[in-house]
Parts: sequence; C-alpha cells; structure tokens
Amino acid sequence: MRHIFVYFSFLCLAPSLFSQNTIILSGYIKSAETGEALIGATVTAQAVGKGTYTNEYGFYSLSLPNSGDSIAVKYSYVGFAAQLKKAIWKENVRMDIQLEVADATLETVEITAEGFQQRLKSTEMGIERISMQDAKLLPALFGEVDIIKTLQLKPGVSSGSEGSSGIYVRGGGPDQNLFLLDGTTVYNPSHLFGFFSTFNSDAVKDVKLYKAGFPAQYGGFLSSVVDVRMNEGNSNKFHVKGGLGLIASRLTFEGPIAKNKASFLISGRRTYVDVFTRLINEANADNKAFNPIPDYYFSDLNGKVNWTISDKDQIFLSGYTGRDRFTFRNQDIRFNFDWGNTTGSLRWNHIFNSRLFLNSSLGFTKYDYTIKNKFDIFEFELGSSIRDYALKTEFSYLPSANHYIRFGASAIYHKFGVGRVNVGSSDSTFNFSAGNDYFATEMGVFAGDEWTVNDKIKVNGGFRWSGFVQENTFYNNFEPRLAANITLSKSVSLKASYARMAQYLHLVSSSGTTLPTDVWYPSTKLVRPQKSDQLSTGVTWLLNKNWLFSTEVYYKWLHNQIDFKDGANLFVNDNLDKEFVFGSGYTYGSEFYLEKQSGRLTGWIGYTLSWSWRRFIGQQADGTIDPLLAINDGALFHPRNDRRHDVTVVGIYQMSKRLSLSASWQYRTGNAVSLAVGRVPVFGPELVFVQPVPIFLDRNSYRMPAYHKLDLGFVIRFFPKWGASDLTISAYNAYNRRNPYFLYFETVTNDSGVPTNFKAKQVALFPIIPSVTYNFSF
Amino acid sequence: MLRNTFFLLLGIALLSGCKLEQEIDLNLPYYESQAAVECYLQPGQPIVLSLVRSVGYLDNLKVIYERGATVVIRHNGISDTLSSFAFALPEIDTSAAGNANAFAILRPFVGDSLFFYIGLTPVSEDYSTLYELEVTTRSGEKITASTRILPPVPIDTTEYAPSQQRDSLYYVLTKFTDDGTTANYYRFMIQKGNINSNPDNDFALDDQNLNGQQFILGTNFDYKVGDTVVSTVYHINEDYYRFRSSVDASIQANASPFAQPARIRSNVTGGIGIFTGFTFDRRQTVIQN
Repeated sequence: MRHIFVYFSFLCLAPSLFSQNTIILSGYIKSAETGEALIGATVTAQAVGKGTYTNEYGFYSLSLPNSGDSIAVKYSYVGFAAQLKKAIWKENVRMDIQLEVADATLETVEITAEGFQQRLKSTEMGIERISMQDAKLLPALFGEVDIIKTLQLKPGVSSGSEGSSGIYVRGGGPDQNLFLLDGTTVYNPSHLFGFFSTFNSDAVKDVKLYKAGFPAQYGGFLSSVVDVRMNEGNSNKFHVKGGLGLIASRLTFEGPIAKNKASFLISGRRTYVDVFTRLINEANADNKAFNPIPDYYFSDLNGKVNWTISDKDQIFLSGYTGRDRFTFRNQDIRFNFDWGNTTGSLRWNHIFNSRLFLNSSLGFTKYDYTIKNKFDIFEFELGSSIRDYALKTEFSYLPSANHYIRFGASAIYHKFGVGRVNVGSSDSTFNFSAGNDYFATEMGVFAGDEWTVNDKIKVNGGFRWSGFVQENTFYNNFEPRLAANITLSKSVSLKASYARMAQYLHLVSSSGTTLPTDVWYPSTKLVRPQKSDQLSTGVTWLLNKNWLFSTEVYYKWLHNQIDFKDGANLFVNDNLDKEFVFGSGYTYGSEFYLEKQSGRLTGWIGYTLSWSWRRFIGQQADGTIDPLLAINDGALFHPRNDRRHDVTVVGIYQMSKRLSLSASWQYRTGNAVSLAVGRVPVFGPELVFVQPVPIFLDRNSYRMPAYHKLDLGFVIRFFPKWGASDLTISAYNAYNRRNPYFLYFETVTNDSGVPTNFKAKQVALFPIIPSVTYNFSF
Repeated sequence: MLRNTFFLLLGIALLSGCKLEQEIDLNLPYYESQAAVECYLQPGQPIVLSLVRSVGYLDNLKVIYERGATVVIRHNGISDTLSSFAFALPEIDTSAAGNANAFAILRPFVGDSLFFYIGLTPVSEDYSTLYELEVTTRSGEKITASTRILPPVPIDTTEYAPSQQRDSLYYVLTKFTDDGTTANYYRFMIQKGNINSNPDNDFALDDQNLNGQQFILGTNFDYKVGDTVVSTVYHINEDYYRFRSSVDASIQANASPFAQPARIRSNVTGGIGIFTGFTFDRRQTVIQN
C-alpha cells in the first residue's frame, strides 16, 4: 500500500519536475496500410543527438531541447519508408505517424543501420527479436511456421530434443521461461507433445526474447521471458489471409469495425490428419486384424478487438484458445486425452500527457489436461489445471530528456488443481477420488529508470519486489536489476547487466522435457521459491551499415532448484511436495552473434560455448538431508540440455521480387544422457524368473552423438489480381542426417523368443521431410 | 518445374522414411562388478538366498554366481550358516519356434542350473524378530543387511461380476483393509489357474492415498465361467517396495526417452540387493454362473 502511495505522490509531482527547457514529442507510430501499431520503431533527432523507440504499444515520447532552432525528427521502421518532420518545436506536440510500406533497398539499408545504432546504444542485453517476415521465409518442420523454433536458432537458446518447440535458455530448465501472449501467461506453449508451438504465426505481430538484463516489469520465471504480441487487426480495410499446409491450415480475417476507430482480428488453425485417419479406420471397419489409428488433432483460435475511444484512450480485448485432442476407441475402450490453454486480456492504454503513459490490464489464463478412460463398467478420469486472474498496471514516465521511468504493480490470483483423479464403476462397486486444490496470490511492484548519463553512458537501474502468499506461508524477494551501456566509439559499445529473478511456480515433470501431463505446483510451506542471479557482459560492434557483431559472456547462479525422488509418484499423490528434492546449479558461457539485416542476402551466424551444472545432495522439503535421495551421489552433474557447442547459420536470399531462398544449418553437441553401464540379474521372490536390470551410475555422464542438420526453403510469390499468394517449399533435414533422439539397450532373442545377447540401439525421429504450403491473402 | 520439384521431394521422403532405428557401437565406461544379494524370508519356509555378480551391460548374458561365500543369518541369538545348492533345470526342447517357456528363457542366463544358498530351518512366524544378514565373499567383500517380517493383512473378500459389454467375461475384485496407524506397502498378484502360473497382475502399491481405508483391486475382464482366479496380497516392507519400484524405474529408464534414470535402491550395504521378509494372504475364486 505504501508503495502505491509513493507512486501516486510521484505522479502528482510530475508537472513540477517538468523542465521548461525541453519540449516533448509523443504519439503512436502505425502502419499506414493496416493501422497496426509498430513496436520498436525508431524516432531520431540526429542534430541534437536524441532518439527513442516505440514501446510494445507503438507509443513513443521524445524529449527535445527548446532551442528555438528548427530540428528534424526522423521516424523509421524496417520495411517502411521513413518520414521526416522538421519544425521549430516550441511546445509539447502530439505527433501520431503513419508509415508507408517501402520497397527501396537503399532506404532499407539506412533504416537497418538506424536499428543497429539503436541496439548499439541500448542498455538492453541478451535480447533476441524475431521478424515475422523472416520467420515465414525460413524452412519449417512440416511447413508449419513456428516462432519458437525460430528463436531456437538464436545463440543461447536451444531445443530440448529433435523437433521440440520447448526452449532452454542459457542452461535453464524448460519450466523457467515466461511465455506471454499480449501480456498474459501461456503455461504450456506447445502442441503435439512439444513439436509445434501454440503461437499461430498469422496472428503474431512481434516476438521478443529476454535472456538476461530483465527489465523490472518482468518477473516470476528464472531464465527467460518470451513476449509475444498479437496483431490488432487491420483498421483500414477488410483483409483475409490463410494457408494450406501438409498437416494444417490457417485462416485469418481482419478489418475495421469503425474505420480508424475500431478493428478486429480472428485467426484460426487446425490440423487435419485425423480426417484421413478416420477414413482409413472406416474403410477397415470390417477388418478384425486392423488396429484402429487413434484420432489426433490440435486447433488454435486467436481473436482481438481494439477500440480507439479518444486521442488518449485505447482499449484492447484479446483472447486465445487452443486444444489438442487425442481419442482412441474400440469395442472395449474409449480413451480421450485433451489439453490446452485459454487466455484472455482486457487492456486499457491511456496517455495522461506527453510524458506519462499508462497500460493497465486484466488478464485470465488457464491450462489444463484431462485423461478420460472408459472400459466396460469402469471409468477413470485424471486431470490437473492452473488458472490465473491477473491485474497489472504500468506507467511509462519521462520526467526529463535523460530519464525514461517505468513503474507499476501487478497481482495474480492462482488456482491449482493438482492430480485430480476419479476412478469408479457404474455398478457402484467402488469409487476413488484424490487430488488437491491450492490457491495462491503472487504480487509484484516494480520501478526502473533508463538514465542517459551523458553521450557515452546509459544506465538502466531498477528493482522488482515480488511476494507470494499460499495459505499461511508468505515469501517475498527483492529483485534488483541493473544494466549499463558505455559507448566506446561510434561503432562499439560495452554492456553489462545483473538481474535477480524469483520463481514461485514449479513444473512437476519427471521426464526431463515438457509433456502435457506436467503439473504446475505452487511454492508452499515446504517448497521454497526458486531464485537466480545472472551477471552478463558484452560488446556490440557495428561493423558497417549492414553488419552487426555482438558477443556476451554470462554466469548464472540457480538456487532452490527442484527435482524428484527416484520412482516418485507424480500423478496421484496428495502429498506431492514430499516427492521433491532440492538443489542448486550454475551455468556459464559466451555467445557470439553476427547479423546482416539488409541487402539481398540477410541472416545471421550464432555460436554459443556454454556449461551447465546441477547438484542435488538429497535435501528434502522439510530441510533434512537424506543421502539416499542424492542425485549422482551429491556430485555435480550436467542437465540433459547442457551443450558445449551450438552453432547456427541462417541465410535468406532474395533472388527477385518473386523468389527467395532460405537455409538454416544447426550443429550442437549431443545431449548429456544417462546410460546404463551395468546389469544385474534380479530373480524376484519366486526365484525362478530372471530379469536383467540396468544399473545407472553417474547422471547424464554420456554424450549422445552431435546433432546437425540443414533445412532448406524456397518461396515463390504470385501476384494475382485478387491479392497475393505464395508457395513455400521446404526440406527439413535436407541431407537426411539420422540425429539420435534416444539410445537404449535391446535384448536380442532368437526365433523361439530366447534371449541371446544385448545390443545398443539409436532411434532417430525425422528423416528428410519435404513440405509444401500454399499461402494467400486478399 | 514446380510439379517435378514436388514429386522429387516426395520421393526422397518415401525413400528415406525407413531405418530410423539402427544398431550402434557404444564405448561404455568401465563398470566395476559388485556382489548382488536377494533374500526373501517367509514364515514356515526355508531361507533361500541368491548371490550373483553384476556385470557390464554389454557383457556376456550368463549370470555369474558368487560361489564359495560365507552366508550367515542371525536372529534371536541364533546364527544360521547357509549352505550352497545347485538345482538342475529340466531339459526342454527349444528347437521348435515359439517354445520359449520360463525355463527356456532362464537357461541362457543361468545355464543348466540355479545356484542358491539355503538354510533348511523354516523361518518362524515371529514378527518382532530382527534378522541380520552377513555375507563374506571369497575375495573378502562383506555385505550386511537387516530386516523384520510383517504380519499378514487378511483379504476381506473377493468378488466377481460379468462385463456389461461381453456377457461371457468376468472381472474379479479383491478387497482388504489397510491399518491406518502405520505406513504400509503391498504386493498384489492375480494368477489364473494355480499359484504356479504366470501372474496376470503383479504390482506393488503403498497406502499413501488410502491410509486406513479398504483397498479394492480389480482385474481385467479376462475370466470365464469355470476359471479359478488366485488373489494374493503380500504385506511387504518399505525396503522391498523401494527396491522393487527402483528396479521397475531402471528398466523403464532404459526403454523410454522421457523417463528419468533411476538407481536401484538396495537395503544392503557393500553391494546391491534386497534382504526382506513378507507374509501373504491368498484366496481362490471360482467363477460361476
């Protein structure tokens, strides 16, 4: 409460802080064609050495000296023609800008260079941004454009396994990433057991990944923030776009509700493999030897409405629902397994004045899975869920030309349904129920200031105070954030950052990867929050107008890390927290990144050298240490996703207006896995059977063979009278490398089923996979 | 051109869609062999102990018996020294395809005989006695462990009922009641015919979710009129439950990319294995119209 009072006092004082020697230019920058707000557009007044960029809502605010001289201000954004506004600025001006789409290559080079300059001077570190345009040109598995897999091509970000859309950032776990869709958390951002992400590329406008130097407004997860912003809908004209792919189709419809006042967007996607499998099943209905193929599909629906109430107020209503459904039926069994996310947010943007901008939102999110099995008179149902109701208010404030302050507060009410199970029979012979509901409230207060100390030094300092209440247990953490940029020359800058993060939610997963059945679990009296501290430093070097090189070195400490006892029952267990064991970890490494953003050939080369370690000495939830529960005898070990070397080379070549080629090549050290080194015969109490039981010793001490593959893409554009279309052809794993997915030992038997010996086997998941997708828009 | 490109890519995919699984050579790290013990005490039964050695995973299939060891079990001030016995396996014709019965599958592992250490004095029905094991191998390795036998948990009742979908098939329910004052662990086994047949169900469970309540354990709809179904509820201790669960987890970890590697949780020191005791209650149910 005291913090809130401080904020409002601060706001009241704001006008008195106002310097009469500066004037403020502020407003929205939007696309002239669609009316969409442009995120990260640059605004520069080169003559006076001032510049800024639009925030995630397309709003900017630039302080200029009130000198009486004419000052030119340039508005630019990649892919759009820049605009120049020159005037003697005498008073604060609201200047909304609409940028036209550009074709000129030379201008693109200029704008790219400005974008590079912005990155050179920014205090932001460990940030990756995905251009939706690039993501759509890059080859994709089954032709399904996937922004998360595009992020995996950036240094410091890796996938857990072949084809997976999960991410491991700088040695962190798959549960330590905050995925935000229009500011609302998405708890399971994947479909089909992790092979596709939930983000429909047609509905996405902007994707930003933070690996370090987290701004104070973000919190709740240790390793990364993936901030995905949805398109708002074309406010000028009705527009349809879609695509027909190998396994899925997409359709998006957008347009004005009231021209330049309100617009909408609705976008859907669905796979259709189940349509064919049903036909096959029906055709074989009379064939008793035929095993029916299970039905599977996933679908997504994104929707958004925005309404400009006045010059100062805008309201956005956005929502998403996505579901995977797996069904198997035969004459005895009916098995249904479905899982998915639903999110919704209502956002209000208000411009108090040219210095103060408000973003306030109400959000809802839910992730749940349900398994239902009916077998004769027996019914079995298992499910878990997490449901959030969130309120967030954030202010952007420019007290002077050298300060950009963001502050605000958030509160999230969590409801967890953990391991809810019902087993019963229709004749009421028996009935069994188990499972728990937990309730918790997470809150945060944050403030941060990007302070331009002088022409050469910029500092972004801030803090986040986070709290978590679960029953009678209260945890809180002070999370300082600090980032600095020292510009050494016109083309070289030195950066450093520190961030502490706290995580109060834990993913109960024994698989080492994310599965739909993983359960989110709150911090409780016994389960303490996870924490991390990350130090990062780096150099950004603008080689010329086309090329940018950056390198970063990081060290991250991980505290209160969570794993599970061997053989833990994670599905039906009312005392789940007793299955946890706690440990620590640290990761360190360096990333190198060379990028070219303009010209016919664009792309990047990334290389990461890293180490990741964990230690679990057998500490249980009540604080006691049981050496028998220690992992790896309490010695340090690598997590599965530890990668010594990770190289990506990505290139997109614009052959002509109609044709473009793309290629991406990845090489990474194989996963660290545990392999049985020994074997012991176990006879059992009857002493007449023998079972060869594998003996595992050191955790993850074996390296799988290195992973590498080349993906190729080819896009042919058509310009029919009714609109535009393209044919996207891609080859995933073009040289057909058998990358190992997992290794196992097999007992070899003779024709009589009698064991003869053992051998090691490697299983690969995907050979070369060609695909064709037809996209259209009108 | 486009059409040709498409058919070329499709052809490559079809040609390459095989051999995703392949045999590989692995250089496994050196594994130091350990002695492995199994001994399950049952009231009224002689003590039988198996003593073998663990080996590298890709080593020869044959079980290596630890012969010539001194095996002593102490209880109530008495020391029983176990004697070694070898039991010849019956000859089975394995030349015909599909003739792989239990002994045929056992033979590649154990050879022509099974080798155990045996104490002929039957185990007494005393649930307070502490049994202590001490094994000394010829090379001087020492393995020790201790255990107690738990009293049996009686089966309350067994029932059967027909399938709603297939009239001729029945399932069997076995009910027993847990003691709410202690943490309990059970092994549940269902056999068709007699106690020598392969089990249809065989699993271990704890009372964490049903402490003090009645357990109702069912079977599949596998039985017809005239079938005899044997239900056995073993009362096992936590050590054996952990050992058994960890053995299952280790086997699963070898076969699944999603399973966490698990170590075998032994209750013996100086080696691998389990020294435990259990009791059981058993019911036979004959399915009738």
